[in-house]
Amino acid sequence: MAKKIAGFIKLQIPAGQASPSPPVGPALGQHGVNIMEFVKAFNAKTADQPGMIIPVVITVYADRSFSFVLKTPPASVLLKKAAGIEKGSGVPNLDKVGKVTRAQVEEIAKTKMPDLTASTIEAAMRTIEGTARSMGIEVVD
Amino acid sequence: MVARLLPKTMTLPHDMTKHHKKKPWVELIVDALEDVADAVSDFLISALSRGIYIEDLEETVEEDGLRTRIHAYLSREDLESGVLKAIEGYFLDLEGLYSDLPVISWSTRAIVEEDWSENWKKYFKPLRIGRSIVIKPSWEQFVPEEDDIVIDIDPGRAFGVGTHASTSLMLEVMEDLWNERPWAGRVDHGDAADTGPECLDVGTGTGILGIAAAKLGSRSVLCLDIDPDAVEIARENCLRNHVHHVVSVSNTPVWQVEGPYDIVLANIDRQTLVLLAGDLAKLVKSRGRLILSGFLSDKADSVADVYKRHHMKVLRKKIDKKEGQWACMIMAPENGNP
Repeated sequence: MAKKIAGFIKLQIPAGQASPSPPVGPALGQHGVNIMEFVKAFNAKTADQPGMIIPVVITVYADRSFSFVLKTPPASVLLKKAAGIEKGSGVPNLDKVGKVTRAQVEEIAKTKMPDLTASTIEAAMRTIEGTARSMGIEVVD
Repeated sequence: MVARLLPKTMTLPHDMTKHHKKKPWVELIVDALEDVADAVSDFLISALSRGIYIEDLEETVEEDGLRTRIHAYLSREDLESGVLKAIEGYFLDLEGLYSDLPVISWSTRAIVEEDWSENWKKYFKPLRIGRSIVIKPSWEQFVPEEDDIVIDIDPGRAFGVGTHASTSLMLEVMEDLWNERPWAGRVDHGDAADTGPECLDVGTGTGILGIAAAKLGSRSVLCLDIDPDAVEIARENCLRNHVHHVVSVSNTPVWQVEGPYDIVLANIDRQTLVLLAGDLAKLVKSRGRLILSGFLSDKADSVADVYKRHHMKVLRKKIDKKEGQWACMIMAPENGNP
């Protein structure tokens, strides 16, 4: 039968750590989705990636059933990995905490292209550079 | 740009200073340009050790680009730890970094914890379909009448809890068929006694139709779904309904299934029904029935035409009374017994 889509919900959750409390509870609760079903399924599918932040897109159908897909790690996570740092800067304007090369930015932009609104690799790279800048990561040639 | 409502000096919102039985939360709502949104999300997840919820504000694409709305949640403990001050410090620093561009704006609101893991249940109540089939969520009390067939289905990931018109149509038609019993031969003509039909349910979802077939009285039921989640959930629902000894659930593709069956049920979408026409038609016994739904009534003829090419004829068509747009067709082999 045709599944009428009621909405999409985007979350970023630490792997294996979904719970009915925020953000999952308020985000899914408003759509009448069986939250424990999502929590169990998400944790089962991500338990082998401890410490990772997993972007997930949940499609909610008119009968309040749902499906979800796990996305590639956020650009911020890929940037931290490329720069070899644990976390971004809390004051990125003042304190630079790492460096990545333009080639690394291009690689990340290619990985993230499907999830970005950018229509060209150059535009995607500008978005990734913006993310790096906002985390106190310098982009060098 | 959304006005910034967060006070410069962090204090607990008024509501949070009262003693609440339920846990209070502060929702931080951040509108950020795409270029900074990922970094903001990362900062919030790291600062709060908790996930975030992201809303795309596609309708509010501004001159400077697409904005994303990020919702983060702070517990009382978070607020008391001073983390909100660190978050505001980060936002103000971002504003300094992009002094020529309004990259970020934010506001907060107090929310009180609800029983989120249970609240969704209020949307589901026992639902009577046809004369005697009742779909009941497991947490609801329901006293059945003598001839009621109660199906316990907890809505979960898989599609099909009986609220969709096409599922209701299928169940109504099944109820009629089990009264007519077209599969049954005549014992006085040498046919075997009627011990119920062998059924196949293609695209089972929650397993609702397969379970209904078992409860209406079937010798065996095979439920198929290509979605592994649906297979798992349909199996759970079979156990819950104590029909697991009659119903088996599999993700075997329909073209690998050996038939034929007395009843073939397929409540899928029109394109899939058209695609599977040859496979489904082959699986129907000469005295069997094929019941199709999942398409709109104005598309019923085009679906029927495809099945006619596979020597299936339409015996009856049923249109959804409430919405008047969904259809269900009962078909039989052209050369089969009526």
